[in-house]
Amino acid sequence: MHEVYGWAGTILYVDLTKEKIWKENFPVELGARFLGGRGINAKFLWDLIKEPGMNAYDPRNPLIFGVGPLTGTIAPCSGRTTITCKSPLTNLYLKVSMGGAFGGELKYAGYDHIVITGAAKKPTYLWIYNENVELKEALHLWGKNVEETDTIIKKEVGDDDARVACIGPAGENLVKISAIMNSIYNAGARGGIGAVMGSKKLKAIAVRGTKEVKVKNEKKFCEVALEAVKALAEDKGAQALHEYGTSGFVEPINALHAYPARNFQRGYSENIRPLTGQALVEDGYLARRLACFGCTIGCHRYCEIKSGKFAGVYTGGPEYETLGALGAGTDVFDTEAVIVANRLCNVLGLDTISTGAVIQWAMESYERGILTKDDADGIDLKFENSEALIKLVEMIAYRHGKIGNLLAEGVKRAAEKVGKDSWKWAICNSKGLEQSRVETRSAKAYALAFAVNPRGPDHLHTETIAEFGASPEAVELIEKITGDKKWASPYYTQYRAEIVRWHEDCYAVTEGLGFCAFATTLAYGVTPKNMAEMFSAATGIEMSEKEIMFVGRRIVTLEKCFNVREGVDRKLDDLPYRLMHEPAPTGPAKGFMNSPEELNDMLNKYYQLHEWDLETSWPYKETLEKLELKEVADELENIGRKLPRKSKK
Amino acid sequence: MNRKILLIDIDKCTGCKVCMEACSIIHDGVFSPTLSRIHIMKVENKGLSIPSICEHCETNPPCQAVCPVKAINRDEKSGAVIINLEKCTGCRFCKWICPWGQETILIRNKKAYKCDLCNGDPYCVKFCTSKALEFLELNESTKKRKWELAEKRAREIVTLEVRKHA
Repeated sequence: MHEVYGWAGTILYVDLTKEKIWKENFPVELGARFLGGRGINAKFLWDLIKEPGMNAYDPRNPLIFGVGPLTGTIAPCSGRTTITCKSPLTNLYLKVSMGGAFGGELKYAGYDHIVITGAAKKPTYLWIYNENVELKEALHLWGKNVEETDTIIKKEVGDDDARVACIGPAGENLVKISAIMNSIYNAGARGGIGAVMGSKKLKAIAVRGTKEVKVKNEKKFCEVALEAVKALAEDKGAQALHEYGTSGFVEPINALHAYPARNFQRGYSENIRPLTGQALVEDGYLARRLACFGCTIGCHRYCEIKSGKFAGVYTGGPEYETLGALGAGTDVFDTEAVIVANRLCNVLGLDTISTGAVIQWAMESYERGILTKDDADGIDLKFENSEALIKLVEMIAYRHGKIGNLLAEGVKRAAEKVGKDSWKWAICNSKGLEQSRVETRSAKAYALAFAVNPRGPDHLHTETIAEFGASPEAVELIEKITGDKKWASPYYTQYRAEIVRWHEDCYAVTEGLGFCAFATTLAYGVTPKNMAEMFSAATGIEMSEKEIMFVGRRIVTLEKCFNVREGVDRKLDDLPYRLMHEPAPTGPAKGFMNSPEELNDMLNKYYQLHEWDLETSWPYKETLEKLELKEVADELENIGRKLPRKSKK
Repeated sequence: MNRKILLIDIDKCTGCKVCMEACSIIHDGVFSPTLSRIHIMKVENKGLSIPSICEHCETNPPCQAVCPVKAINRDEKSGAVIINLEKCTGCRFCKWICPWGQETILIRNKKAYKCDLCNGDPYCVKFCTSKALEFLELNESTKKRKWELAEKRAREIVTLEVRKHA
């Protein structure tokens, strides 16, 4: 028996083409280098794809699921699952992280990672019950929505405690903005990851685990974990997240004129109330506050519409990003319309951020006369039209009509196809991912973080909300990073490189161990120090705060190297055209922009800090060696990516 | 010290299951929801989570009445209804009779296990940030509150059972 602590101890491999399933022992030496979850996923992806330029729908593109060494323990908010592959939307590195209850169940079934390669000939699902793993036929599930799939599978395997991660029709139809959903309403959404699962004809993975997770030093582990639970319970940010969810931030961010509306044409909306977490509570839509597996914050929402035209509609959500993307962005200030659109995205398996982004781009194109009513299959694509919003979500998921098929490709490709300057209001950067609903013009660390994020401009790689200095904990953290409290303001460009890099390292550790970034960088109950302590107590591998943050840096750099191998360079580290060239229209940051000069200046500092080359943005060979990524450096050089040398400079 | 009682509010339960992990580590030294003496039943599409745990019935616990070997008694200090494992024969009568459902009692190696309130300091409660589980001083007001919460929970459990067998 392979004795390990913290980790479950087994990696599950599935080759869908050959219909082969096998298991390998978890490599503990890799655990010390990359922790688990997102870190080891990135390493596996690096090892499994050898050919730059490979199509993301190539059966060789692996779909890797991973949980952390602390998943399945009382470490608070440690139940997350990372899924990694090459993105069909950006053709670059992609990791998504999902909450829900799938991760905990996978760990209790005895697995740290599932590595899926190949493609099935006909629709298939994977059923894991502890050691017993089988591929089952899923013809009857193909075309079913996420809720139906979940219900049918639970009945089939005869266990209500089974947890299901699956795609909806959007993933089946290779929609490039489709998601993988689990526990029905928890999304691993970005970069079209659902389409990769769809290209493999893998409808779902269902898992039930009844085994145990052991930690090496139980007493110490429980002490630190309880300390973190108490710190989170007292944290104002965590309390707000529980009370009003992420949607509770809509109102204050709007007051700062930083809640993007009408496809980022406005940062402030007079009539914001229907889209706030407060309205969800006070107007009786919020039925329950939910938590993902192992989470003591509980920020997730479950809403129901009790009367009127949409009576009986229920869904998980809506979240801050969803309210922004489907609501403010399309100028639909109608709680019920957004709940309905959110439900459709969830059960059809769409990324709400990208879906909202392409719809508002289409609305602006329509307003400017570039898309006609005929292009839109007769739909009146006006902003504020809630019926058009709801109709479009469905059309995108099924690629129905000219407009559904166009928008299913994501905003970058859609703008390329439509042409006529429409890329100028496509809110994605050169990498091609739709930006999340963050006003980066007046949040400079976010701007930098979004530009350098290897998967594209969003907040789920580096959440630098501390720069707002909204709580004593946030101000303290900025002081710790920069040496001075005064830099806790999002309008400064100074020290943003330092702030971003610290958050990158911390985020990578967070997801490497299985934690949720809300516990570490939105609330501050779980710190790098207690992450290091919990990791050490759980696995028996001693690591200090400094050492574990160094591992975080290694993970971030390896992810960067995936894109280097694809041959991309600094040119893709930018932001959407509108944010780089049009000033913020109103509010305290009126006139602010992410101008190319300003962004370049921050990028230079950031690359310098990382010891990456300024011209290409590629890491120096010495940098990779220092991070003990020599094999990565060698491989890059072997395929002709000549790495810059620090010594020459 | 005055006696305390356990209050369980299903409306506050977020379904995170940290209580189950806490229960298994404190009693069995490993993390395993399967070994936990509290169980969270979930209806995921409806966002519903229902904690299933021994209520430590204040008057005439049915499990105590039905136990053929008199292995079940109340510990006056902690107020917990506890099973004497030396006497228990694993006959399952307690499991079957429990009005709170079969999930409240586990049978392992021919012995019945249930919540013992950790000798008067329940570990799960410390991890329940949303306060679905609370361990409060026993007085007239908490006693009344316990009744109200129990009634609410009972209704949901019955609905769930009905739905399961529909």
